[in-house]
Amino acid sequence: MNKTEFYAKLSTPANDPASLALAAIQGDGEAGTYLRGVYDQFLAFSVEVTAFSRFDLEGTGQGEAYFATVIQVVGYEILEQLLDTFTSIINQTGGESTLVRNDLLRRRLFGNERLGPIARNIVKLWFTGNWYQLPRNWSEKFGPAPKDVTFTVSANAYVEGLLWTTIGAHPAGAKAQGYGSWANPPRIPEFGSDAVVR
Amino acid sequence: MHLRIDPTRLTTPHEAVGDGHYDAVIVGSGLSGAIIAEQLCKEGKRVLMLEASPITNKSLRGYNEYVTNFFVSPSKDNQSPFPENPNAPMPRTPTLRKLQPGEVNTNSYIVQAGPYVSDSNYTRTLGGTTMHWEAKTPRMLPEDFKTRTLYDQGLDWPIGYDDIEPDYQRAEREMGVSGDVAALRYPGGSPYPKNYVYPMQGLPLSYLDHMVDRGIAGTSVELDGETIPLQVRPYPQARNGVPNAAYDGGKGYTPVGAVNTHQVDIGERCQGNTNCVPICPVQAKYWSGKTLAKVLRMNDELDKGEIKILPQAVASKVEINPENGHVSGIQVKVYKTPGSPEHETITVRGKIYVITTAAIETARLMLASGLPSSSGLVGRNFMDHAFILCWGLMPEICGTYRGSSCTGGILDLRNGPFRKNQAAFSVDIHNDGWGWATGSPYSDLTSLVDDGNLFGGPLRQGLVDRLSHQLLLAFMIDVPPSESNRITVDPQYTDALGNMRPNLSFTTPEYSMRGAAYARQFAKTVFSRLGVDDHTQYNPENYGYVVYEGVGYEIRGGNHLCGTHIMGTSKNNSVVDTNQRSWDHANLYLVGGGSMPSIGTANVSPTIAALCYRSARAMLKQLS
Repeated sequence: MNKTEFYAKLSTPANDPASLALAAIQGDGEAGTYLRGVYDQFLAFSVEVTAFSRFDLEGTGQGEAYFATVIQVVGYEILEQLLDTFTSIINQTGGESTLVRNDLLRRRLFGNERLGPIARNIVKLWFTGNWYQLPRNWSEKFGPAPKDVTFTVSANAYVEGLLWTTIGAHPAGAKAQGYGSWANPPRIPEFGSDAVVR
Repeated sequence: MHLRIDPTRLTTPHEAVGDGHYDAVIVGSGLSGAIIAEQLCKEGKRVLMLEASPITNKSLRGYNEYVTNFFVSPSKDNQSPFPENPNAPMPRTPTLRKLQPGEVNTNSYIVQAGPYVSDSNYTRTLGGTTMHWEAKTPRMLPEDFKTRTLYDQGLDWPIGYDDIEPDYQRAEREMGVSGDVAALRYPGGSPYPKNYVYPMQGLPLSYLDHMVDRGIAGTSVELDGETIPLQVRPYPQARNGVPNAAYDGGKGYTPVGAVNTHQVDIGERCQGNTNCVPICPVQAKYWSGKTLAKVLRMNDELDKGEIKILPQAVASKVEINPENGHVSGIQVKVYKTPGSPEHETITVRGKIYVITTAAIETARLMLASGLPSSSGLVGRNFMDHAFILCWGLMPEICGTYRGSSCTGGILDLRNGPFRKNQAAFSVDIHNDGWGWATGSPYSDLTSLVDDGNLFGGPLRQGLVDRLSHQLLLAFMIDVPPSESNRITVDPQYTDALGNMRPNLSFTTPEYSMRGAAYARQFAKTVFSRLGVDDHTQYNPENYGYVVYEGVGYEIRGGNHLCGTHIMGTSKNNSVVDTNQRSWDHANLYLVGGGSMPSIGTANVSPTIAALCYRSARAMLKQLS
């Protein structure tokens, strides 16, 4: 499956996007290598904007599904543009502090009229498993995306939301912490100290 | 325990009609329907149970389908596990909107005739609202049964606390209540018999409860010249905890695990899924399937009684024999699939008829059958608790979003001489954060990302700061009965099967609004003692927005439905007698919260369950 075939298949409703993405990323030859590269960039971007490690993100099992979701809803061109922008920021700020990197991420990515809302939606995907409908002015300016409605990617995506891990809790209705655990203080996981502004 | 609703237990419209020798026809499979069926079958009676919805959750797979529906619903509203069914619809909060003066909202299943909008709801599925309830099980107070005599408010019951006390114990056994009687024995609380303990030990208070208690214990408030000391007390709850060896005079108690499955697959003790409403994923919470499973086992293994269940069967009309006023049958519309209104209409018969479809549907069915009763009170005196919510951020991390939905609260304002002037309330401390008020934690996440422009580490820090400090106090306020708060029907508003939908006219009485206004002040006092950053805001666009004495509040319902067929001392002042038997129709029982003439400040299910035992005794006497 080459890149164009993968992107085309993703737009066929009958296909399961997450398995398609997984197959494409693990594929042989030039196309597989290329898509692996894009997916790697996607994960690197996700690590940066969630402050969760690649290990944590891959541990959710949702990476391929979110990658496919973004492409399905807004198309691969915009995702590739976003990831290329991110990579160039990283290349430009290699060795600099998070503060410097975040400054550029805000100016060129989160503050970009076309890419900002997509970047924010990727953050929200990881934390909740939900794709949130893009702002109306985005759709008016860049064209409406037919699948751009608020939806939960899957039951597992909800359960794997990082929001709950962040606060030392668990998704409502799943991954319960055990009888009586609620009587104790929460264990809130630490994250990279250079990411903390305050 | 297995819920063996195999094909031999299900009946068909043809069989149900042909099988004309049922002792009882029970409409509804919720709390009341299941307990009545259990009590009758135990004495060898034959029961036909009608359930309006498909009984998807009769198997573990079906039950888990409901859990998955909740997972994939981005709105996660409190009916999200339960699929839309135009043939037996249920109220859903997202269909509500604020009403302009004189406006009627006909888009919601309950036609909202105003002036106030009620978001009271109930669930139409196997198990009824026990699938969805939070399962807090405080008893009513003795004073709640005589508010007219004591406080010149509302109505007195024709029975008192002492009459119902032994039945509370039966209900607490059936529902499997975890609770700490020692912590609930205090002046003004419900009196328990000496040596009584709940079947299971109380669920531990949450860390959040402890933090609140640390801030208020030893302080008090002044109300009407009375000093009321404050502390956090645990709520009894119908969810499995640690069995209490001292229960039943030292006989102990064996918890009832999940039905439909083996205990190995799903635990029987509460795990803290923080999702009691709208669905407990592990059935640690009581739902009436547990009682139905008992009935089926009784039928199969002990050869006691017989129950037949007719699913997708919507009771449409109660038919009356004009000669003696007895019910001669119940007309039922049985549909093939929820997707199509195609149905057949049958009439089922029994010696007695028991309608247990909760206050709104029971009144709807009676009124749609042209049976407002001699007193004209069917549908009137509708009550639900008025809730106001107050929320803010605690100064320290409290670990919100863990535990069952609510473990503790402030119960000391449930009673006092102040009830002459203003409604009493009970206060819940919500372990699930601001969700009920603001849509947290999703609303917080989107706001931090979209408006706060946070990502990476600062976002994670922002989430901890915003979510782990959340405190929400929910004030459950007494609402006295008022005849103008009522359910009616109107042939112009029907569902897909052509059954008339309930119409609700509702105003929160001034007495309750005085309680609400005090509740808001009380919250400010508590917050100031805790150092809480108060974030409470009432939105004039919210459907529940009410202005009282120049100040706006959002009033929400508690889904504690009461009062549409109240019990009383005669056919002139009530619809049913103390056994919940209709004054007008000697073989008809209207069983449920609708029989309650007052609601007090207790969640209603334990009282509803207790009344079932009383009614079942009367039914058995009538059938013998």
